[in-house]
Amino acid sequence: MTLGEEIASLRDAFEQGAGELGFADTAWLFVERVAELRGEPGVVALRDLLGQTFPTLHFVASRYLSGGRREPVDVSEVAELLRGTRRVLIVGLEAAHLDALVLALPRETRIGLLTYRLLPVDWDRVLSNHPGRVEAVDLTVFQTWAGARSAILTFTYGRRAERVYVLPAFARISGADVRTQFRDLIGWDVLGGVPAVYPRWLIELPASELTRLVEPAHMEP
Amino acid sequence: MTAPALLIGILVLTLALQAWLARRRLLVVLTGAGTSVLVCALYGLGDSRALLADVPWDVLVLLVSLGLLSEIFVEARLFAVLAVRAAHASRASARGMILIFGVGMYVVSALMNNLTALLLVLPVVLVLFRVVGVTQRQAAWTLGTLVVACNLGGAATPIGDFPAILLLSRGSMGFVDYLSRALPATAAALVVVISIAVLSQRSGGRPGAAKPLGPSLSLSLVRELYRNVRLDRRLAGPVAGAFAAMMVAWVLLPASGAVGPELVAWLGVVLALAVRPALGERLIRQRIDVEAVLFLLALFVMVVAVRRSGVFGDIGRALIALPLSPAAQLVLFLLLAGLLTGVFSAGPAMAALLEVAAILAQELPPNVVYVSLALAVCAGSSLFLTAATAGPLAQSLTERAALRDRDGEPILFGFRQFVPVGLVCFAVIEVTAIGYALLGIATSE
Repeated sequence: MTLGEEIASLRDAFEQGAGELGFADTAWLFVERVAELRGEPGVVALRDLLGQTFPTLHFVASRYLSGGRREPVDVSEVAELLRGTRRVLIVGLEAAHLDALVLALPRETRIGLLTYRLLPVDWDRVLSNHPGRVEAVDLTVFQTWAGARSAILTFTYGRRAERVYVLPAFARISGADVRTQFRDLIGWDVLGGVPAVYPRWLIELPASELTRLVEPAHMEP
Repeated sequence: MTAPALLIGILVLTLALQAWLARRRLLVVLTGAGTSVLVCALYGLGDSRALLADVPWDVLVLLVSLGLLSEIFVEARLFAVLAVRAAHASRASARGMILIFGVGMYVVSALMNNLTALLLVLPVVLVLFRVVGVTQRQAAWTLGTLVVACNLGGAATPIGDFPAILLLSRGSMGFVDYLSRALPATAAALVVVISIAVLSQRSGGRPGAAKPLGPSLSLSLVRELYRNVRLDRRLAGPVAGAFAAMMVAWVLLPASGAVGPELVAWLGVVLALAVRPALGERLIRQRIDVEAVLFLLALFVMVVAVRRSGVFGDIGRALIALPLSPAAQLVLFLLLAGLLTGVFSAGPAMAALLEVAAILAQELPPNVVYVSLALAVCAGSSLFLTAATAGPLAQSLTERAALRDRDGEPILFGFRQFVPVGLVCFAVIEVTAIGYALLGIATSE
């Protein structure tokens, strides 16, 4: 099997990971493992062959090839914004960021995870990583989490001018009515830049849909 | 029409219908049981109170207790942790997965509810399939071997699965008597089954070749998917202690004593549930497999009705009257038992066949008859995917995973894909059952 065939055969694997770990987290996992086992040519092949289908992978592979590496998740700003919140509804899934957030929030803060995703997900498995801490929240009942001390937090994937890239799940619950029902709608950028290829799996929204946007210190233009 | 003809007709028709209409099987067996009671009442063979009094409730107590015990271990995340460890031990290779997960499922099924274990272990196997890439042949042999390993594990100990539990609760055999005979026999069959399955797969890469990406990435991915899943030692420890105490009691207490195996299970599980009372209460209210209990209750009622009509005794006596040696009579019985189980599934077949076996056991060494029957029922439950409850579960989980091979063709695990695996495994286990029976008769003479 050639390197190209080997990389191309990983499509299902990436999809599996992206569903339950998140696009950015899985992209870093794949880039790091492929770099370890196949070196730079492997990462180039990953970017060129799978990156067209998974734009976050394209972005992460490109960043890796230009010397960038995965950075530890900095949860301090988000935790500060969520101080005093009783309920936090997470929209989207990025495992490393979720893990850090769960550790940072006080135990009395309820954390819900919206169980809506375009990719297949074993939600029991996802939630088993946070037993008794993260609750599943169906799209049909997410408004039961609303309140003056409630917040929605969604992961974002770069910003271009005043528009941010988010998962379609956020579009399903955002709107003028929802805006008034939650104290904050926070965006948390997990990528630090905008994918160079067409942002499949993501949608573009005005940044004004969010009340706050937390971005890494070094954002790519 | 006579009562025996009517009752045996209802039993056979019900068993056939429940196998055919698997999704309506509860409705089918409850209708069959109710009709059997009606026939008994009309023909003066006993009313519903009398028939229900003959139901072996101790078997149901054992099944419910052991099911609850498995659920506590689920809550302690034991199976998920074991599955992840097994994935790493297998190195995600085709042969490694068959070997490690096959042996793992055998051991787990010998001690606990194999359906619960399969439900939690199979998702890990399916993730490996999806990430590493899998062929139709590999999927059929790996999943098929896991189902058969569950069947063999269930037959290995007196608490593994319904047929063996029935033997234990009836006092047909003691705990140690059964264990010391069935464990080596099923282990031998497992070695043969796994060897054949492993040899059916292509070996790994050439020595010195680059480490393949698929398996390596799949293991990294599995590690991440279960990154925070840890064994709840504060729950698992005391529960394991209670289970160990139950095992000691089963081994030491005489089968015919006042404290039977079902009481040991009852008290042991209540003790285990009390480790975390809120959780225990929730498990009792929500996790008891009512479907299995009702299904078996209905089967028992039908079997009790047929037994009251004297049909089983007639079949047993007819078998003994055949112009064959006792050994040949037993071999014929075992072959029929295997095939009948293949069609009707293990629970119904064992409940009915045990009545005939009791007649054979008057002429032949009882331990030999009962253990070889349990093995033959295990062979039959491995013949078709529908014959054991683990089969349809594996089928539905695989369908849900929507696997595809490298050419984009869907990977299936249904009745047809299981047939080659089932035929081979049926032959291996049936030969083991017959070999065990003949050896047992020869050594007892």
